[in-house]
Amino acid sequence: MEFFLDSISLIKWGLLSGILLGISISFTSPFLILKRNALFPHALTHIYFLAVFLTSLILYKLPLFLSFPFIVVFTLLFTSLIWILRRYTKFYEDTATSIIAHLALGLALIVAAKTYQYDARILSYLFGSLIGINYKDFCESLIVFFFTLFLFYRFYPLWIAQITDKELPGLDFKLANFSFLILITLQIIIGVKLMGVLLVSVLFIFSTTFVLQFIKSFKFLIILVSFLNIIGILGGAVISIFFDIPFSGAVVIFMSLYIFISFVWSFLR
Amino acid sequence: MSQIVIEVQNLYFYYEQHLVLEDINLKVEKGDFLALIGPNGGGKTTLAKCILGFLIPSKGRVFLWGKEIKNFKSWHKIGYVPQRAGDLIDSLTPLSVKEFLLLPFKWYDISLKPSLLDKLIEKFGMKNLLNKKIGELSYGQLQRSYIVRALISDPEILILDEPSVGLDFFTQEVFYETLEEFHKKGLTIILITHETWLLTKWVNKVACINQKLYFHGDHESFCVMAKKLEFFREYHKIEHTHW
Repeated sequence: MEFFLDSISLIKWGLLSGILLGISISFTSPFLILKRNALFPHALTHIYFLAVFLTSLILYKLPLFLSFPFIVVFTLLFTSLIWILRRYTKFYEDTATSIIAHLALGLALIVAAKTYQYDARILSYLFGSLIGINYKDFCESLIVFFFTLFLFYRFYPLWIAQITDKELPGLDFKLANFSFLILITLQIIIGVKLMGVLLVSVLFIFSTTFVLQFIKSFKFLIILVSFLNIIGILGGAVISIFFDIPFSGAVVIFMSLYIFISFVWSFLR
Repeated sequence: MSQIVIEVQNLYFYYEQHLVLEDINLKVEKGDFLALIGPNGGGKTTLAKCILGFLIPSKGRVFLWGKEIKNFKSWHKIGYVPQRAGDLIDSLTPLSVKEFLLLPFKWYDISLKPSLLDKLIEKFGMKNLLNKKIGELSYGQLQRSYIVRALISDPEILILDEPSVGLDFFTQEVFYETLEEFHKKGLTIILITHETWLLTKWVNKVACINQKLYFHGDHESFCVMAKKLEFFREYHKIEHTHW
C-alpha cells in the first residue's frame, strides 16, 4: 500500500492531466465517430510527430515554452494538406487522411534520424509516459479543458447539425469545423505526452463507441463518456502500477473491457 | 398583387466545365405551391441549392423577400427537406426524436411555439415516437420527422426535394393532404418531384427545368402545353423520360 501511495504522488500531475483530458475528449469524440472519422485523431498524431521534430529542429536554441504554438501551427498546416488533397484529387476523405498521415510519419522518421533526434525520446513520443507529466503539462491540460468548454458552448449546435444534415439554410460550418480541428489538435498534443502517438486515439474511440451502443439522448452521452474515460485512465494507472506495465498499454487493456461489454451487449440483444 | 418571395434573375450555374443551369429567371409568389419538375440531371436540385444559398451561382442573382441572398439573414423563415433526408442517421445517432425535432431552435434565433409543435406532432402522427431514438425510425417515419422539423420554426417557405420517395401511396396521400392544409394557410411550397400525378392534384404552379427553364405557369396552362407534341420534343432532350 505504501508503494502504491508513493507511486501516486509521483504520477499525480499525470493523473490530473489525464482526467482533464478524458473530460475534454468526451466533448469532441462523439462528433468524430458519428461523422465516420474515427481514424482522424490517429492520423493527427502522425502529423503531430512530424511537427514535434520540425519544431525542435527550428527552435533548438530557443526556450521550450515557445515550442507549443509552433507545434500547433505545423500540425494544422500539415493537416490542411488532407483537405487540399481531397479537394483537388477527389480522393475519399479516409484515403487522403491515410496518405498524409503516412507521409508525415515517414518524413518525421527521416528528420529525426538526420538531426540526431532518433533516440530514447522517440519511445516516449510513441508510447507516452505518466511519470513524465509535470505541473506545466497539467496547466496546459487545464487550458485545453477550458478551451474545449468554450468552443463546445459556442459551436455545439453546428457540430451536432452535421450529424443529421449535410447542408442547412443559413448555417455556415466553416468556422465551426476549423475550431473543431484546432480543438482536436490541442487535445492530441496534450494526449500524446500521456498516451503516446500510437495509443492516444484510444481515448477518442473506446468509451464513445461503447456508450453510443445504448444511449438514446445526447444529453447523457458526454457525461457517460467523460466518466468512462476517467475510469479508464484511473484503472489503467492502477494496473500499470500493480503489474509494472506501460501506462498507455494498461489503459488500452482496461478500456477494451468496454468493447468486450459492447460485443456481449450486441450479442444478447 | 401578390408578394414575390423568391426571385431568380439570369442565373447560370457551371459544375466544373459543365453547364447545369442556363439563364434561369423565376419568380415565386407568396402562397404558391410550385412543382419543380424535369428529368434527372436537369438542374432542379441545383436551382433549389442556389435559392437556399448552398451553391453560389456562376452568374445571376437570387433574391429572398427582395433581399439579395448574401445579405439575407432570416433563414428560419425557410424550411428545407433535403433529397435522401436521413442518409446520415443510423442506429448509433444519439438523438431522441424530440431532440431531433427541436434542433432548429439551437440553430436559429427563434423561440418555440408549443401549440405549433403539438399540432405538427399530432398531424404527422409522431406522438408515440417522441422518446424513440431517431435511428430506430422507419424510412417513412424519418421522412415525416424531417418534414415536421422543417415546419417547426413556422417557416413562410418550405422547399422539399423529392420528399415522398420511398413512401407508400397511402402515406403519400396523407403527407400531401397535410402539406395542402399548410399551403391553404399561406405557406409557400416548392416541391421538387418526379411524381407527375401531383401536378393535377395538389400544386397550383409548375416549373419545368432541363438546364433551361422551359415552362413556368399555373398547372392548367401546363396541361394544355403538355398536350402539344412540340412541347414534349422540346422539353424531352432526353428521350427515355416517362412523360
